[in-house]
This record gives sequence, structure tokens and C-alpha cells, in this order.
Amino acid sequence: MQDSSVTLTRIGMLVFGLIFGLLSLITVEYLQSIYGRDYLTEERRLLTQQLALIRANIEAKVNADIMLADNLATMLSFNPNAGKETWQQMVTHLALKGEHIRSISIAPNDVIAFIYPLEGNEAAMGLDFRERPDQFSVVSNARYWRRLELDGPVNLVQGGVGLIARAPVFFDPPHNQQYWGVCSVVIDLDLLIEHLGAKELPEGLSLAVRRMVSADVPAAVFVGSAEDFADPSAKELVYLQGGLWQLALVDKRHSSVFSPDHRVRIVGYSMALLILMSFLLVVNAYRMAHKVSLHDSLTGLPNRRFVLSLLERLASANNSCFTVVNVDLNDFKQINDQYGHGIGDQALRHVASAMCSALRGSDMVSRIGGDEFLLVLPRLSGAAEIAAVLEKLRREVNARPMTVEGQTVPLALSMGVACYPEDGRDISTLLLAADKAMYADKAKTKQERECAV
Amino acid sequence: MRGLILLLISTMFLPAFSSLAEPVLRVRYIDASDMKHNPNNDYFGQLLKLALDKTAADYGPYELSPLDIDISQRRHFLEIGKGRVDVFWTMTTDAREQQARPVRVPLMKGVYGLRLLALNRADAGLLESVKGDEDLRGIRFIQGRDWPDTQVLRLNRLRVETDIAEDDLYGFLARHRGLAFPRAITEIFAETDSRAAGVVADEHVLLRYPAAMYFFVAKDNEVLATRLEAGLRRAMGDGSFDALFYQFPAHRDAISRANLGARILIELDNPLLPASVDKAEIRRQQDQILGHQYP
Repeated sequence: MQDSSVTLTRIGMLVFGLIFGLLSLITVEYLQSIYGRDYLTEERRLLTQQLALIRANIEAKVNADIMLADNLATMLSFNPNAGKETWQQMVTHLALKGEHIRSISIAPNDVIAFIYPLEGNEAAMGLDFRERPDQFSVVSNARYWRRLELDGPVNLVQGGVGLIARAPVFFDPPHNQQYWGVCSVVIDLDLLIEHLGAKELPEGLSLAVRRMVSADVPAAVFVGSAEDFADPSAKELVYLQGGLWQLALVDKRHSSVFSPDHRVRIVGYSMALLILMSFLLVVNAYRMAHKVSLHDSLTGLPNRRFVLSLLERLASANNSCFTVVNVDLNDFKQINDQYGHGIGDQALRHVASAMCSALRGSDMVSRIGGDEFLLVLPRLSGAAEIAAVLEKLRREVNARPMTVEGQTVPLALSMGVACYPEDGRDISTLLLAADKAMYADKAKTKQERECAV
Repeated sequence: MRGLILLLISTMFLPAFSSLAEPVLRVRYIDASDMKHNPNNDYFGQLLKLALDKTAADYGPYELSPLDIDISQRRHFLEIGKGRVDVFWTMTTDAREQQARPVRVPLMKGVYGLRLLALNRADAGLLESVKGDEDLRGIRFIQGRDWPDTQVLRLNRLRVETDIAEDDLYGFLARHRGLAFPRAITEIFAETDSRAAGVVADEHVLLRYPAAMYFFVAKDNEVLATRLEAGLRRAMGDGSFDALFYQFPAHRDAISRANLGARILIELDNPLLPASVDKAEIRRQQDQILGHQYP
């Protein structure tokens, strides 16, 4: 009966734990999703702002550089036979206006005849675009459409990578029928990227740039990789003279355990665990207190209060019948006097343990006073069966003699039986009946002992 | 016995000792004149010898070591860079002056900028009526793709075809009409003569643009560069340069035969000539050739 109540409590705790865990899980994950969504929205908004700033910078600065090619083309158109000295003056002047210019070249009839600065670009002198199909297509486009074209990134003959603005020059502006050649402004890509602030982005953020054929048809990626455009944090189109680009800002930071992805989870689950632990502590404290109030601390058996509440419950059930046995340890006072209270206590524990092992699992042994025990035997009322139980108890106690320093301590039980409902319809009557029966048994035993003496 | 061994050892080391005492400058260069059946290369060998002779007194003895292999211009620059060849000659450009160290004395008096036109034999009279560069607009010029002259012609808005294999240029010319193949005056006659069947040298037109041919040495070979420059300048000063140039048989034949004074001179610009080249000097030297009379 004690075991089954403990098992019930354990199952209850387990169920409670599971429900609590489930509720915590749902709550925390819900909060996390809300927080995560808000956080990501906010972050994307910031990144979009940042990228818009970069886009505006590119448009302003790159367009300014690109337009230099157009300016130069205009100057050449009106002075096609100027010669190298004049070119030198014009280009030196223009180059001062550019921010990311690597070189400026002039190619009459598509052969580079002038390049500024010459130093470091010697290899490009005499470059014939007809012999460079990769660059010739854009040069031809510029000539065909009579407008500035942006090419790039191009692997330059003189080394490095550049974006090239190609502006066609005609002998006969504004009719533009007779082709003179092309002039080119080469923009240093590395310098440009550096100036765009792309290198100052927070760690984990990277910028990717690709050319676009139109607003939704992408072409080659020239900064970053194609995967960067799959799911970027922010995207922007850059409208340039003679070209269209797309920027993508990629966030590679969300991988650490302490990232915003897990912030709510960490706090939430810690809280849940804390609550569960506190609850378990309280429950445990309550159970300890309850146990102390209903159990006898010496033998660990239920005490008088406990057994009374149990009897009330048994008696209130319909058609119930049970038997109580009042047990008293004979001559307990003498044992205390002769061996001391320590041995007396030991004797009580000894008897309690002997009775527990003699009875069925459903029976209960309780200690209700100094040397008084009360046995509750549910669903038992036949006189023969009761007699058998009492006999078994006596045998068990006799079979386990208790010895102190080689001497056997005499242990004998007086027992009084009362059956519910025959011997009393209420508990106090019943207990009184059992008490009387016990005293009768004790007196009978005493008499027999005296006769024997 | 001991004296004999000593003598033997000293004999063995004698050449080494003597060379230590007076180091001989070895100058290696590629001389493919036999292989290419091109007598022009021999001129540069002789000029190299002349420049080194003129400086033997202050720079010491030398030894010329010609290698008879035929390699491309590009390969020449690689070999110079690796130190396997000490000197070679070619037309100067800004890019080439970055790859090797130029000796800035023109070796050919601007002859490579004096161009005559090889024609299909049937086109011999094609250029009779040419009066100026405008009249050349309809002609298709053929050239090798990597030649600096190709870009010079294009910069002068002449139409140039480069899709023909370099070793088939004369063959292509012999098979097709309406083409002109510009060659230096010292090159053209030897070449058209040897291909008498289909090609002929035009007799009416002379193209002229500034061009300079230089000796190039390794970038770090300052000694040889200074020596060659000094030697060439001395040879120019004492007339031995002009003597060698004009008396060189191939030059003498070409210049006498070209009838330069009677031709329509068409001046072209060469924007690709490095700024360091003295254009006026090249022009003066070209004028000297145009006016040269062999006795």
C-alpha cells in the first residue's frame, strides 16, 4: 500500500514534468519566432539602408568617372587632328577630375596610340582592339550605338582588372557618320571597391556585384560569387552610364550559438528549467514534512494519525470489511529498565520488521503508541483466517530472537482483534474493542505464565 | 720529379690565370642570316663588332659568339631576360623598352620606316596615279599580326589585313590582286627577286614614318649598354658607321635600285614611337638616305 502510493506520486511527477516541458517548448519557440522575425526584419531594414547608401555612392562616383570618357570623346570630335601634345594636356586635365581612374587611352581607328599615364601601361601602347575579341565587342557596340559603353571587369593587357568606359569618337559631330576611333577610361576596380566602403562593412557582411543585361537578367558576377545572389540580405540595382549592375549584401554571421537566432531560446529554457527545479524543491520539502507528520520516526511505520485517517477512509467505503489487530509488546518496561532505552528502541524496530515480513503487501503495520502497534488487515474477517495470521505473527517473532551481548531478550506479543463492522461501527468503538481484546490476551498470557511457574 | 709536377700543374692553370689577368667580354647574339637567307642580319653583326672595336681600348677585349638559330622576337626577349643571349636588335616600342634595356642609338637610319610596296605582278601599275595618302584608302595592305607596322598603318587609317599566315604573305600576294605588302627598302628587292613568279616591287610610292631600330641588352647589363652606346656614337662621329651602312652590299643594292628620289613620298605618323626617340634626328637620317648618291 505504501509502495503503490509512491509509484502513483512518481507517475504524477513524470506527467507533470512532461506537460511542463511541452508548455515551455511551445511558449519559448513561439516567443523565439516572434523575436526572430522582428529582429530579422529590423536587421534587413538596416542592411537595405546600408546597401542603398553604397549604391548611391557607386552611381555618383562611377558615373562621374565614366562621364570623363564622354567628355574626352567630345573634345576629340571637335579636334580630331590635335596630336599627342594636345591629347596629353586634355587627358592630364581630365584625369585630375577622376577618383578611381587607372588610365585613360585614345585609340584612333581602334589602335591605342596614347595612354596616360604611360608608366606601368607601356604594354597597352599599340594595342589593336581587332586583335582582342573580348574587348572589341564592346568597342564595336559603342561605335554602332554611337554612345558610351561600360565594359568590365576586363583583364587588362598591362595587368590587373579594370572597368572600362568606352566612348566612340566621330569626325563629324553631331551626325556621327564617320568613325574616328574610341577613347577609354579605365577604372581601377580594387580601388573602387575599397572606396565604396565595402571593405568597411561589419565582419561577416560581404558585398557582391554583378552585371545585368536588364533589370531581371543577370550577367557575369565580378565581385563575390553567384551564390551570394541566391538569398542575400539586401539587393540593389545600380544604374550607370552604359551599364546596369546589381549589388547584393550577404550576411554570413548567423551561425554562433549566441547569435540572435538563439537568444530567446537560451533565456527561455533557462527560466523554464529554473521554475521546474524550484517546483521540485518545494514538492520535495512538502513530501518530507508530510511524511514526518504521518510516520513514526523510530520504525518508519505509519503513525497513529495516519492509521486513523486510513481507517476512516476504509470505514466510509460501502460494504467494506476489515480487521484491526492491536499488538502490544509484553514487558516492554522491563526491557527498557534492564537493557536501557537504546535496546528498547531496537526491540521495537525488531518487532516492527518481523511483523512487516509476516504480513501481506496489502496489510499495514502502524505504531500508535510507546509499545503499541495497530495492524490493519483489509478484506479479512473470518475467525480462522485471523487466527492463522496471528499465529504467523507469533511464529515470526519467535523465529527471530533478539540477542544483546549473548543474552536473548524475551519478546512476546499480546494481540487483540476487532472486526469491522461486527465489533464496532465506528472507529473509536472498534479500537476500543481491539484494545480490550488485547488486554484480555495479555491477562491470559500472564495467568498461564504464573500457572507454569 | 717534384719540379716536373709543379710545371704540369702550372701549365694546366695557365689559361685560367691569363684570363683572370685580362677578362674577355663574351657577347652572344642570334645570327640567323644563313638560316633565313636574309643578308640583312649580317649588317647588325658587323655593326656590333664595329661598336665593340671602337671601345676596346677603354672597355677591354671582347669575343663575339654568334648562335645560328631562328627564334621569334618574343623568344628573344625571354632569352635576354634569362641571360642566355647578351644582345639583339629590333624596332623599339614602349613595351619592349620595359622588357629589356634599349641602347638608344638608331641602327638603321630609320630605314624600317621607309617602306616600298610589294604588289601582285598583274598590279604593277596599280599605284601609278597615287598622289597622296587619300589615294591609298582603297588598297588592302597585308601585314603580320604582331608587327608594330600593322598598328602604324591602321593609326594612319589605312586598311590592313592580318588574317594571313606570316610565312604565306608573299604567296597570298601572288594569288590575289588589289593588295599591297609594305616592306623596308632594304628588304623588298631581295624578297621579290626570289619570288619572281607572282610578285613585283612597286616603282611609284614610298611610305615614310619615323621608326627606330635599337640594340637591346638585359635590363641589368648596364656595362654592355653603355659600351655599345659609346661605340656607336664614336663610329657615327668618325664616319665608320656611315661607311659600314652605305657600303654594306645589301644596302648598296637596295638604295641604288629603289630610285627613291623619283617616288611619291607619302608621310605617315607613328604615334607608337616612344617619346624618347628623337623624331627630327630619324627624319634627318631618312632624308640623308633619300638623297644619297652612290658614285
